[in-house]
Amino acid sequence: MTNLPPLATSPRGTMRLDNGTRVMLAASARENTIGLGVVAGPPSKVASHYQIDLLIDALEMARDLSGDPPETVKVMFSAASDDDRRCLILCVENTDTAMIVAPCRPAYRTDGDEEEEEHDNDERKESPRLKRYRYIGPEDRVSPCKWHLNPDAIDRYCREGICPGHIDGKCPLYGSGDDTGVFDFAKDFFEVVDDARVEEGDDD
Amino acid sequence: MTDNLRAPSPDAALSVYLDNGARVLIAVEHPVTLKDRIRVGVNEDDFPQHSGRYNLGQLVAALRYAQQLQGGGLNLRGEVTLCFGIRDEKGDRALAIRIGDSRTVLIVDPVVGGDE
Repeated sequence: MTNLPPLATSPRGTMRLDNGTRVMLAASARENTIGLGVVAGPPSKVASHYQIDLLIDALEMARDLSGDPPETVKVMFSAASDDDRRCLILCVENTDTAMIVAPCRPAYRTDGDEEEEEHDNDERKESPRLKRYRYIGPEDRVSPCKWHLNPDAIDRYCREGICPGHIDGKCPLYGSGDDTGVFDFAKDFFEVVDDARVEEGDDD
Repeated sequence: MTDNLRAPSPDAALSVYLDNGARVLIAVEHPVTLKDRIRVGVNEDDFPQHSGRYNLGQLVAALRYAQQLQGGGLNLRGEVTLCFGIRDEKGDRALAIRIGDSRTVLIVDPVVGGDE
């Protein structure tokens, strides 16, 4: 296990993606640099899918190039290709060098022989596999994880659309028994949610 | 955002066009991860408006969180969706890392001076 910054319990309210989709921020990490939340609504069209391993490899290559601190990278997308995928460009600070991560086609959106229709709008077509993994939330069927959410506050969380619910009968924020410390935050970060938008810089 | 701007398929591209039309020349494919398509390129022009600056360590940490969340409850083959948050008052954008096809999102705050 690597040294991960622990997620704290300070709520940060909400933020919005560039398509207006709201993300309920439930917790932020030390120094307010990493937040954890639940997105409610369609994904942004200016987005693409990537393998985590590839992203980490590329970032570590960029870190090797960046040398002394500050280790900062500029992140941007390429233009969309004909099949609506975008490369991710990681430009190393103060250089012209860029790491380019090719996108992947998400495995969970195709299922063997099934033909996925083009998703011209923001609503995705669901394959059986996607449906199985799909988030089950208040708009579908409320199934809060009572192991990790405050039972007294479940109604509120469901009403506000931030309850993670169950996926395949398990809490996506907990796991299936072989949990590690990283999941401990789940039982705390839903304690308080401030619905007001938090202005950046308040925590500096 | 230039929605009508199209780039060649990333599978075969020798250069990658950014959203503002600037070009990144692909210089080399990483020898270790060639099959995985990580490339090194040279950026020729200005950065697009649609971008953000982030601390490398924080990005890696966020992705490792995503890995662990997937390992615990979301068996989605280590995939994430990346997109930007809306610009804040200072012109910076948070980076949203959506884990697989769940609605769990990790947000990485930008460092100052993300855009322009």
